[in-house]
Amino acid sequence: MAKEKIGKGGQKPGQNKNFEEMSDNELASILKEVKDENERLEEKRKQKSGKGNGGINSGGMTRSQQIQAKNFQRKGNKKVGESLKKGGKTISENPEPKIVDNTSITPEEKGEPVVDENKNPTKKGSETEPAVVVDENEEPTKRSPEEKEESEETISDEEWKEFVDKGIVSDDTISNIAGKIKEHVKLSKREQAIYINKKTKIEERIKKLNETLPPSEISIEKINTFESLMKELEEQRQKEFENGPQSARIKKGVMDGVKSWENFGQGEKSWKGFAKRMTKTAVNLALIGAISSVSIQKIAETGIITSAALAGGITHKLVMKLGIGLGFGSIMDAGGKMPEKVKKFLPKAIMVGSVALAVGLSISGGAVVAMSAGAIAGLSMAVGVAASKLKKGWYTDQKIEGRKQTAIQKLMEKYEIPGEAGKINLEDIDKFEEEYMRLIKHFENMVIWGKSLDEGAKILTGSIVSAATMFGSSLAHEHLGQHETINKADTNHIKAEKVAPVIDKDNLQHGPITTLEKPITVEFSSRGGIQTVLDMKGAIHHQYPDISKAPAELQEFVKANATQEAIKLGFYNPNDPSGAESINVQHGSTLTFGEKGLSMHDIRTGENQVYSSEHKFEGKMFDSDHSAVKVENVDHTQTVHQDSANILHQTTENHGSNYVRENPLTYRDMHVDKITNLQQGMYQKDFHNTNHGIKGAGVIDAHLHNDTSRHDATFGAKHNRIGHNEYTSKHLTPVEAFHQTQITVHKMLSHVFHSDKLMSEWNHHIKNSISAEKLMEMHHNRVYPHGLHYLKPLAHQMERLEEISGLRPGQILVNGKLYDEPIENFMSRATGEIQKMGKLDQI
Amino acid sequence: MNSIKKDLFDLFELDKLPPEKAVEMLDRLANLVFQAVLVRSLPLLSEEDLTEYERIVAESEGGDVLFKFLTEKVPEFNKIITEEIGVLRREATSKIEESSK
Repeated sequence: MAKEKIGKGGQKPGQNKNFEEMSDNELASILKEVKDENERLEEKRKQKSGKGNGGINSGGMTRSQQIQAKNFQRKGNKKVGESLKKGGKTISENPEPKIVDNTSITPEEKGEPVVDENKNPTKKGSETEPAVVVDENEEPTKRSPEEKEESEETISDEEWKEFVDKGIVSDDTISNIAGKIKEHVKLSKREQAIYINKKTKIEERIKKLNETLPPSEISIEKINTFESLMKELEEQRQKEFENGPQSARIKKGVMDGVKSWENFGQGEKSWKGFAKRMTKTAVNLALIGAISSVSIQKIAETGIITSAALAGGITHKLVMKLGIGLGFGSIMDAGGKMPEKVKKFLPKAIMVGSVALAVGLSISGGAVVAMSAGAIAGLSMAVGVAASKLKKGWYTDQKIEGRKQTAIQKLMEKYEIPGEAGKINLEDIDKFEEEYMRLIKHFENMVIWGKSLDEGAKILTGSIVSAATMFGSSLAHEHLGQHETINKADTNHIKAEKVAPVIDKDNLQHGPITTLEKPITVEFSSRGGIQTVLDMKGAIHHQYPDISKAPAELQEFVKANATQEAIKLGFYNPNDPSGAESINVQHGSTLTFGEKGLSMHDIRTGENQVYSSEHKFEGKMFDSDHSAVKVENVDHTQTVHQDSANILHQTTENHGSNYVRENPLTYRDMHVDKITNLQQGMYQKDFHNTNHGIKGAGVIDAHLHNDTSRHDATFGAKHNRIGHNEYTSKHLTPVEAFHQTQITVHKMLSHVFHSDKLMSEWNHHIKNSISAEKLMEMHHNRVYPHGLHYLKPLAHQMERLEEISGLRPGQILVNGKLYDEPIENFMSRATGEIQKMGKLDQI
Repeated sequence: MNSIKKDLFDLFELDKLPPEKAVEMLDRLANLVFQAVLVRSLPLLSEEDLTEYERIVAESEGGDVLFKFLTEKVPEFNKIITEEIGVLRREATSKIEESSK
């Protein structure tokens, strides 16, 4: 037989084929290659250990190779062995070949105890599987003509070494390989080797994969159609029933019977309740004709038997069988033939349904749907956030299913409670159900949305996520009205939902999943990235006065340090060597927390960009404080009024500066914007040095010197200016204090302007046009212009702030000009003071 | 496949619906059938059995006990179920066909 030579670096014979397809030559080539590699490693090991040629026998075999050869011999791997022989190597005693690393000497050989297969595959007898062994009888996969390509090696060097050295393979990899085989995706060479060594495990995983359902393929429209049809049927039947000729007693009996069936297993804890709910699902399938109705009695009896058995305590294994595999086990036995479609449906239905019922939901109320919708919407948001983290292939079917099976496996193991005499802890079913439900939903969502995301370009992320949200919302609203329909009992379920992992621990943090009611948008602040982040936090607080009810991502965003968040998002880079530390975007650009997560709409380009920790702003930055620009003729005592992280570069004509810079944020009205900047907390960095001409009883001056947040909010710029480019956490605390102040002010405003309409009126028409002093004047005189009476509560609040803080509205200096202090500015200042006094609770 | 030949499971494509929705639909469909079955079954019970039925229901002995009782006491209970499944299936089919026109 002709032999093919393996050319280094070139396509190797047999590459990307499974062993079944390989010719003897190809097989031998691969084996030889691996063997060479083994020898190389062996040589390396010897050099390290300095023990000469200890492992090599006269036949050129390392000791470990000999051992593995023995294994081959035991396992009857003749084909491979012969191939190796044909490859030119003489194997003295043990002609069977092996793919083995030198370090695969078994613990047995080393005199160490043989450990668990998972830890070390080297076991005695037929179970012995040295690190990597090839068996001709072990076929990685059967292939179809449409077999998909998997181009690159997915097993990392590290993992490969772990496998070769110790025989350890992660569950994820086992699942991935199983998924690939199921999907007819070619295995990489390393995967093939792992498959051969871990065949049993992988085959088991494949078997489980085959029992799982394909992703939902039904359209939202169709779901809505079914819902409408169902409603029609229900209404029609109810009308017929009410108008029927039956006696009142019979009618009552009917209604009570239906109710009794509805409540069967509902809210009942322990395995017993669990078994009832499973029984109910099975009986319901019979009631709609999916299983023979003749089976109903048997199924029902199964429920009784199960309950009785569980009450008396049975082995955990059996309970697991009943719990997870009722459809395949007990019901099959009791009910006889079961259609394939039901087999597929049942396990999932049982689990999801039982959990829904377990927390006392009405099966006809549809609250389950609402929560599902919420979860999906929440998910979609999270998906949006994670979108930029997506790696190609992360959400392929096989990987998702693989992870799902791994997770189920781990969950099962977790609840594999040894207990006394094999009895189970009945209480654990609640936790089990909850976790299983979470897991199922997690992977369902991943299949539906994650896969879509994986396959789509990032630009599509938004639309996919929007679709997810619409899907969730439409179900929630159409069928159930609002989420308020969820009763107290439902809350438990929501709680369970909330802790559901969304995508993957590697991609997203686990956390609450609640619906983002509406997108939250703020304009990029003229104060820059940090202020924009703060504005967003405030807006979030406005939408979610009780932040614990906000979606997880929002909660995390609010909790995060604003400066760090700005840095993370790329809005602020205090360490930029060129001094361009601030985000440069055109005025009118917005930052939105929506279904996609956090995104920016750049008004200049019209593009949307989704942000995450790995996908930050990469656009223009500029040196807001000119720390890196030599500016001549600038009157520094008058300063250019920019914040640390920002934007506005005005022509400083008033101050004799020739420093003119293109203004990325074109102000509509310089005056208004100056005021706005101040309202938003923008202070001149050197204001305290240049506060000449201030009137207002020294209030502002005191504020500027006392409110460190003002200064520290600009610390980055100052820091740069004074030549310290290191960003240290000690600077963040004052920023956080400032943030807290802002939040408090937002809370106050949210309380005062409790409707969106009022808040909008305030934001767009009033806050820039009435100063704090003017408002207090109107309040004291009890004269409010027409249509502004709604400001009275605000004035009351201001009065309270004055009272506690001892401060009064004053004036502020901007570019050498004095302006009456804006309302929000005063509120912020007074609140800051009150915060320092430790009297925040009083407001 | 002609929808006439589809059962309720297929008609509402329960295996394709999102799991929570599928379970909800399954329960609602089953309730419709069960209600119709009870409407036909209860009048067939003797006074004594009807009283016993009322007791089982009132004391919430459980759905499994309820079905066991009905299976034992109602003549041709399974046949009634099968017939009512057929009735609902035809009604649903008719509505689905109407909606698709």
